[in-house]
Amino acid sequence: MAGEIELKGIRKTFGKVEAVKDLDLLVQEAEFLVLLGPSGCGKTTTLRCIAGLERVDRGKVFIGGRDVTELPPAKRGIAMVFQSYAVFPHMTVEKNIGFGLRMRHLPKEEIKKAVREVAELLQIDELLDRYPSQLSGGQRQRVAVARALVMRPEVLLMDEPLSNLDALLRLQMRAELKRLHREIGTTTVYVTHDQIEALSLGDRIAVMREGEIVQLDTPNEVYDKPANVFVGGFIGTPPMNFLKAKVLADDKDVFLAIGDFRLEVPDVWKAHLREMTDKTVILGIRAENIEVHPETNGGRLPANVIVAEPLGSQQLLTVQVGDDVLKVATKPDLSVQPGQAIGLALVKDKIRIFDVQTGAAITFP
Amino acid sequence: MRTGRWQPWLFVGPALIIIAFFLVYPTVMTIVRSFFGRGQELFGPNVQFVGLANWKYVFTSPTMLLALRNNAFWVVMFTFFTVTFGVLLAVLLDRVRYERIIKSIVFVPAAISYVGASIIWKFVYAYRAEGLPQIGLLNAIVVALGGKPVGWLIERPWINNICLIVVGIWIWTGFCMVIFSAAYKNIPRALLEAARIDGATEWQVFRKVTLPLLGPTIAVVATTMVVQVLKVFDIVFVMTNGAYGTEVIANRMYKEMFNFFNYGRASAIAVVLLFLIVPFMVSNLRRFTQQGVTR
Repeated sequence: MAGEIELKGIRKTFGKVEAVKDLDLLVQEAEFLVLLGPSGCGKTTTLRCIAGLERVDRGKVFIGGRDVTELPPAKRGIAMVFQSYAVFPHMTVEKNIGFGLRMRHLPKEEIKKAVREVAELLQIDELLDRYPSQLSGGQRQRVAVARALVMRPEVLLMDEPLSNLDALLRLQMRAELKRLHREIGTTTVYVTHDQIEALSLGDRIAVMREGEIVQLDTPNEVYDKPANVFVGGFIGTPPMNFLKAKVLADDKDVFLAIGDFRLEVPDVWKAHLREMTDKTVILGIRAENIEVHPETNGGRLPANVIVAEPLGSQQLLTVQVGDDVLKVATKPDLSVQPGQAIGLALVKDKIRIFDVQTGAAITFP
Repeated sequence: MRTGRWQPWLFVGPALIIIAFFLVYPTVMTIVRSFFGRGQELFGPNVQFVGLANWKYVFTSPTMLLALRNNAFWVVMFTFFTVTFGVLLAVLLDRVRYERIIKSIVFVPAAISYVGASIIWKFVYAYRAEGLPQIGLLNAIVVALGGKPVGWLIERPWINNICLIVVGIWIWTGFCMVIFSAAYKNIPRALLEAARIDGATEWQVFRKVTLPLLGPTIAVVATTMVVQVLKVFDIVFVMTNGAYGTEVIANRMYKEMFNFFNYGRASAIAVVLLFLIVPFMVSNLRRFTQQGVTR
């Protein structure tokens, strides 16, 4: 209960731009929730509304069951880590970390002890006397995290904390943040546009688009069962493949037609799909759920290789199927040439279909 | 051919010659002339060597002591208030919707010449004897409120000096504000927000974050203001011409030179002014060259 966050119909507009549209969200205590979306989707604004750095136009914000909508940031029991670190350049690391505690007028000894503890936790206790200008980007980031944690907040808010770090450091800090969250268990809301970061860190991911949450689920669900074409196309490297397909049915069977090719569908779909006979749908499948066969016959989807990219642990093929271009992940040792005709087999259970008009996933109970 | 040795001198040579001719030579001659007596000529049969007489005058005569005291008063008051108002306006106007319009208005006096500004303020301070209609804005207000008219530019030692300094502050506050405003907008908002989230009140955010981060800018602006105010001349010349105990160094220098034709004394005063200003110029130059390093 202490660290639970609830947003009830919050709305925030900047002039004519609706940054957040009547958004509802419930973050469980001790949960690591990631707000994920492209730039301008309202994820940072949502975070700033939780922090109290933005006033909501409408709706309510609850933290730990307490209505904090009208409270200033300092009274909300939150701490925040900024993308730019926001460490004070004129203060030593120790002063930076202890800043909030000094504002609360805690006894000096107590502050010193708390600062040392959290500095050890983040392995920056050697740097306490240094100034930020003497630190690397990664160290500054640790200071920023330490400054947030020392406040023992009910809720920790992070706004793209890793995006200013180089790739290797980002990988390292990502694991570090995960470890910290496991050790401390503070409710965390984490904003990022990096879907890999979201998948690796989040207990749940809220995928946002144009001020709305389009899907709120565990990383695996979001990855395997995107709620619409947007989520499928945004998450995953490479993103989900999409092809046009037509629902066809005869007396015995129901299937999806891609050009002349007939694709089998899971048995549970068949009854429902029959009602959609002759409708066109969008078929979605992930690159790793397509199998490649050198021969084109034998009930396989015929395709032409355009590009083959070896990526070390796997090989990524770009192939042409009718008018659509697909990405296919294969074993690194599969030998294929550009221009080669191949046959594709789509893993039946991993297929997802979407409405052509709305892009929303069509699911069957 | 070894061109390396003299090539740099070839490039800086013209600049050095110009500086030597227009800066070093006059400075040296002014220092030399400060040991000679009356007369308008630089040297000649009528000009006599007087040793330290001019210097004794500069540091002991009541007139000059008054000018030095007034200049010190100007330096303290003018610098303190231009910088303080500049910072406050820059930080507070940042939160106002019509920031740009208000800033433009505050900046306007910077575009008015000293003489123009002095004439404007002479009207504001205008004084007629009690009972006569007051044409001065301030006295009109004072009288309307039932008070007695005040001789703003006559009441010594403080009221008239303060009134003069107010004119200087009025002219320069806008300039300071613009510089501080630019510096303030350069402070990342996240720093201020982080402080607020950590529980700092608005005053604490200002004291603990904004002010220290404006520190280098404050130092540069303050020293620039000191240099400006040490040379103060026009306002005093136009409004009181140093009467009623408002004399300042530069005005005294002008009088010795062009009213009393005492080249020697004027030179000595000029040298004093030069040596007062040099340390501030040096510190400013240092700061300018360091600026890249501090951030």
